Amino acid sequence: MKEILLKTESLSKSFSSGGALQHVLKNVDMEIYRGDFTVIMGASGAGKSTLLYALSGMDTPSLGKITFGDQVISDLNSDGLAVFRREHCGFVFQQIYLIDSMSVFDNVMAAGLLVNKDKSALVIRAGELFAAVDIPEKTQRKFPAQISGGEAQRAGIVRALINSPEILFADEPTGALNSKTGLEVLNTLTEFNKQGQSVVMVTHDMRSARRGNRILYLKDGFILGECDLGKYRPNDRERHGKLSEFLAKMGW
Amino acid sequence: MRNGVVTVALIIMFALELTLLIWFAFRKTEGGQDTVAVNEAVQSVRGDWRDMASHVNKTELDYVVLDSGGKVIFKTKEGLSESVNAAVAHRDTILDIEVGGCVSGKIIVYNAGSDALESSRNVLALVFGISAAVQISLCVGYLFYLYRAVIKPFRGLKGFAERVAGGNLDIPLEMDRDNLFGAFTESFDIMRSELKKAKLAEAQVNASKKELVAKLSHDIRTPVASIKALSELGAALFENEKTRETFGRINSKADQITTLAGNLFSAALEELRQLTVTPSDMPSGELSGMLENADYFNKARISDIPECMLYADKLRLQQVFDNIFANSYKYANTDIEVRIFLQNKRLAVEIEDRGGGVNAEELPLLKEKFRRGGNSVGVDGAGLGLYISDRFMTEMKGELIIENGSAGLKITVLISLSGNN
Amino acid sequence: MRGNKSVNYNKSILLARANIRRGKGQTAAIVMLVLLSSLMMNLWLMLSTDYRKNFDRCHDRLNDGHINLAAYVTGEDFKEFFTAALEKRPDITEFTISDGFCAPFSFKYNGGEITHLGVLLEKEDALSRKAGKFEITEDSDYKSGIYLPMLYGTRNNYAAGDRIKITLLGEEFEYTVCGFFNSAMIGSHNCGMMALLLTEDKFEEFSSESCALKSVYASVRVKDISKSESVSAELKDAISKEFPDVVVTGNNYEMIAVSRYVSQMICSGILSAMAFLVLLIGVVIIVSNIANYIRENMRNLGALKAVGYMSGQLVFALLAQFAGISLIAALIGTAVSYCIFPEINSMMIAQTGIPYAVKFQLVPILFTLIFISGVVSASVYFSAKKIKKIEPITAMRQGIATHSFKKNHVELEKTHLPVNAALAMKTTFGGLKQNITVCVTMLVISLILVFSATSFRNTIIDIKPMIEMIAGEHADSAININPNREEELIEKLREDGRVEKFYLFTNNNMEVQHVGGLSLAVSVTDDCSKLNNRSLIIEGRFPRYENEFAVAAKYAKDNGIRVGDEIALRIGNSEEKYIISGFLQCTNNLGKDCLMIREGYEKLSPVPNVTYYINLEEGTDIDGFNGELSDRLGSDVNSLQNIRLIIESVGGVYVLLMTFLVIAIVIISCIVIVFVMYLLIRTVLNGKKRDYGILKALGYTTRQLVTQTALSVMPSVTLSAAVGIFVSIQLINPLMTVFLSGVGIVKSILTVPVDICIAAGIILVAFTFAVACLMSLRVKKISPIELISGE
Repeated sequence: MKEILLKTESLSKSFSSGGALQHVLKNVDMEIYRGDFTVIMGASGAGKSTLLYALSGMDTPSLGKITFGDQVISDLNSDGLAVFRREHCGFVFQQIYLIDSMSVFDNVMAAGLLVNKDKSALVIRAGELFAAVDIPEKTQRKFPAQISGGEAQRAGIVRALINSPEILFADEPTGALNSKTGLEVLNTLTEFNKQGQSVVMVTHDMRSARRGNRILYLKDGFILGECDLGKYRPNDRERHGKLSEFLAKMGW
Repeated sequence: MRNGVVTVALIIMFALELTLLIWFAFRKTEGGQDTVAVNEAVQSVRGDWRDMASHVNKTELDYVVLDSGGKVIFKTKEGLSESVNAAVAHRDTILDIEVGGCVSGKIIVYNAGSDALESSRNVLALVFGISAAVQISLCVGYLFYLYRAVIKPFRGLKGFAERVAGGNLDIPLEMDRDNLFGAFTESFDIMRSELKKAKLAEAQVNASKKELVAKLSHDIRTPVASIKALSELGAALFENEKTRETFGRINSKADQITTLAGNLFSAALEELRQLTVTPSDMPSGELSGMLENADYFNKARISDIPECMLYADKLRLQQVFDNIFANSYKYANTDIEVRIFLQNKRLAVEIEDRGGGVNAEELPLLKEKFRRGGNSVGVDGAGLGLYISDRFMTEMKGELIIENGSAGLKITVLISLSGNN
Repeated sequence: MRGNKSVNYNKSILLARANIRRGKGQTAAIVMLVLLSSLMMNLWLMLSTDYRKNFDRCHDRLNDGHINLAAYVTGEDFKEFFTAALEKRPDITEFTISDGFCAPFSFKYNGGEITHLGVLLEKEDALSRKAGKFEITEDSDYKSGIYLPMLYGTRNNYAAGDRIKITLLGEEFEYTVCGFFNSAMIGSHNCGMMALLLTEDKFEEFSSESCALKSVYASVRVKDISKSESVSAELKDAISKEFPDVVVTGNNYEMIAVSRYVSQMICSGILSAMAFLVLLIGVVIIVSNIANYIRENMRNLGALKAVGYMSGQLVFALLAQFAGISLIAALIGTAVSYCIFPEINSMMIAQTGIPYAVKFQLVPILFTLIFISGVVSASVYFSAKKIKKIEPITAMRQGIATHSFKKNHVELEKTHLPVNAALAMKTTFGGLKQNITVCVTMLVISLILVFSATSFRNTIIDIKPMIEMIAGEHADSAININPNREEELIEKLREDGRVEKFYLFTNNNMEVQHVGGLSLAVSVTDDCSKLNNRSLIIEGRFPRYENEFAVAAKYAKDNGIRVGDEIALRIGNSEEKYIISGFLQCTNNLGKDCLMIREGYEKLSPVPNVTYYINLEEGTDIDGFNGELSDRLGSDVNSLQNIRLIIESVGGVYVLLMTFLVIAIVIISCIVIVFVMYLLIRTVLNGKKRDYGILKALGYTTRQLVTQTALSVMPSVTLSAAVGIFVSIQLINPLMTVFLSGVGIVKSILTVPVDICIAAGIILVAFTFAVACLMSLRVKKISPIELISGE
């Protein structure tokens, strides 16, 4: 039995738009397991990102309960959530969201220094991560506006991993990238997952979804089905077939 | 930004030089003696005249005191004018010392002004020399910077303009972000990419126009075909040329109208259904309000409500609760126990009174139309409530279960959770 | 294409209104600042125009003399001579001579004591004078007693029916206060001499009982007011030639017009400075706000331009918005100023002693409104000109204007600062405009603070420096005796263990004539090194030798005299030349003073009466000591003063005024800081919304971000407060000199309390930090999810 990292019970999220309540998530019951590359799929508007942000403590659910270990994170206030995020979560955004006024390296440090007070250790860790995502020293000194989207997203991954989070959340990490750089980013994520990093990724792109070993399909705010694909291997036809079949069943 | 700094530095330098110059030009040349100090010297010498050996200089001046014979009897330091003649040559101040009404000696106050003028002139020369050097180096540095920042990048722009003019919009302009023209060159590049986009958009619009035209021409072909067929038939049946023609026209028009009207009606008819149940998502928290609403005699004890999202029609659900509570008031009129819990992916609302329930054989019949329990004797009612409630619940994908509990009639309303349909 | 112009302008107004609605806080802040500024500006204008003219009106109404002279005489022949001398002069248009008594007197005032040269007149006689009329401002049913100048009826000092004890040449008289009167020229202790009116019976009683010298009091009107001073000098000269033993004191129009309005001048000076400074802050805020508005709304402005709005219309929208707001705020401000004016007026009256009725004045209001809206419009226009440069396409792309190839300030890897401080520093270096706003505000506020601290130090804590600057010499006690008992007095003082030091400092009605100039009030001392007020000389040194003297700096400046010059002085018929050893600062005679050593004065004339200033040991009972001296020397004592007490009572008015000002200033500073911080933080937060969203997503808590925001303004706050306070400490005395130049101050010598200033600076910085933190709480509203869904 795999270790449960995150667990939700009757998770619901509503937004009010123009006076009327809109229920984006409805009674989501799910678990995220350690070491998994969990992919949340679904058509746009299915509530994928909302689910991701609720899971990662960016947002509080309207109803229901989210537990991380024995900590009920759905009960935390905004500062408590901030502490939860900085200690246990890493984020990779579709729009990348590096801070424009800081160098790439400082972007990473700004996240790292929040948790880790040992600066020299942090610099070493950052160096390792940058090396792992193949961003040279020179690029690290540049500003986000001066580097390519792919580089920026890989820097975003470094920033997300600097505090060795238990879970890495990725919201359409390839959404703003072209296919080649997108592939690099996916490879990076797969590589980190292989080393034991738990990843939760939201995507509506099948090519990205193949990277996961567990696919959850979200429709109209609830989990319609899930599929265990097993570990990712490149060019595994059987795996591709299984995924396609699952998605077809889900009405993809 | 950088040229701003240089300009400001230059302006400040010029301003400084100008103020210095003005200050020097309008500075009062303190050539004259400080009369107050001289007076003090004279007065103190007068006071000490009887005993000049003990005289102490109380001023900052240098002076020599001569007796009536021209002999030096006091001097503050060496190197001063020690005779009237030397004093005149050096423009020193010579004053008489009067004691007891007669002139007893002279005091020669040294003129220090000429030395001061000399030294200030030297300072001026030095200051101007240094500032000129700084200015020149600033200018040279700035010229060099201008060459690097303006002239070189401009050369780079030349090739770019040629490419754009030739219609090649794919090669971006290389930007040197460090130079002054970073923003400027970027706007050129923006222009290039805008042009490219505009070109692409134009191509797309053209393509979609063609598509539309193709589709419309296809759609029009069908009615045209039938008009053709009918007119042929009409032409075959009638001899009269005019009638044949008219027949064909009417037939074709009537056909079109029927299709169009058919579409319109089918759409409108859909909406004409009564007592519809339209379930939607609803947070479970709203239940407590609904239950309190139904329980207007305040007889119910309502348990905590588990948080979840329900799939229900709020209006109809309220009617269901109203009905159940009203029945309980009517037939049992006891306290009511309401327990709410999750059960099998549904939310169960268990409503139980202490009225003893109904006969076991009557239970399955309660949900039927116009059916009432055996204890309904003497109580008004039509017996429609539970039937409709049951229908509502079914339409909400829920269920209404009626059974006898330990103390009374127990009605369980099972509400579907959203996401499970 | 452009359509109807008026329709478009209506749209501009709509745009403006939308702007206002979006920036409610900003609008409130600007309204507040403009309101404060216009409030003070209007008060200043009212004080410096109509309020000032009030004296002239009063003077005209009472047909008061331009010169007023009081002469101690015994015989009738003087009066005849005097009348003839006045009639003889063609430049005198009118005069009235009354009989009365002239002597220094004292009574209780403001918790202390006031000692002054008094002119006692009979009430009915005084009221019926043709020139130099008196008017009763408050009367009562008491028919036998004394009428006091109305100044003493203010601030609960005396009321009709009270008993007042007046000490006069060692005798004590007690009267019932019957009422109060107003006189332009001798109606307060600011006038060189002060009238007291006795009812007929009391006047008779006084005539028979008192040993005071009979005297005549003349009010003289001249043709040319500007000549009043020289006419006065010539008259005195003529009298002293004919009657050398007659002592003449007097004042003239110019002197009184200034001295009765000292507080009004100080107050309006401060108000004007504050008004301009607050307006400056307002303008800086408006300018930075518009720059910010343009930056934030680049896309919208571009879009508006793209649909056909002209730059002029967009600028006009801003102009309409700000000018409209500030016009309304200024109107409210002027209205509020009318609410405050009565309070200020009552405080002023306690010093001027001239009644003033508050009334509506159009010109100050118009000026205030036009000036403020003009300044605001101009600053809006110039800062909004940038809109003209916006090209629709580039603006909509929003790429160009915000593009900057910036430096990575404060590298996180290298800095030793904690991460929050480091991120704050990044913000600091990123926002130059904010820093400028902060700097200007802090510089202004620290100047205001230093001013307040200095006022506080020099009035409320220890009034000595202020007294030294304005009143000149001071000691504990002063005794004026006839010269024949001088030796005895010296011996007595030398023997007395309580006496720390004593020295001759006599200036009772003594004047010397500057040959070719005016007559100067002269103070004579036996040893300048003993004077308590070492700051009496502001340039050069004290006179040391018989051929030296020190002259008032104002007189010297006005007449182009420099230290070291030799000028001739004359008393009666003797004339001598003196070298000017230094400049004196003293406002007693509005800068027509000089100081000599006794030997120097005696070259011209013997000292007519001698005043010794006495410093007593700490804790000695001054009144008791004075009593002993008086007992010992008897009737040869002309006057005995408890100078300490006089300083306390006269200073009381200034203490009150300054307390009010300091409190007002502190409140205004707080308001300004709050609003500036509000606007600033708002701007920073708007600009950094995305960054803060990201930081929050990364796990920064609201508290950390609040601290960061507040810290980011602190370097410029701290630096500019430090610089501001340092510069202000250097500047405050020269500035005060400018303020007080009207009363004869040439060089302000107030003690600048460096410790209080630094403490105030620290409080200022702390307060600003607290306000910044409070304002930064808006960070709470930024949520990471908003950032994600907002794009």
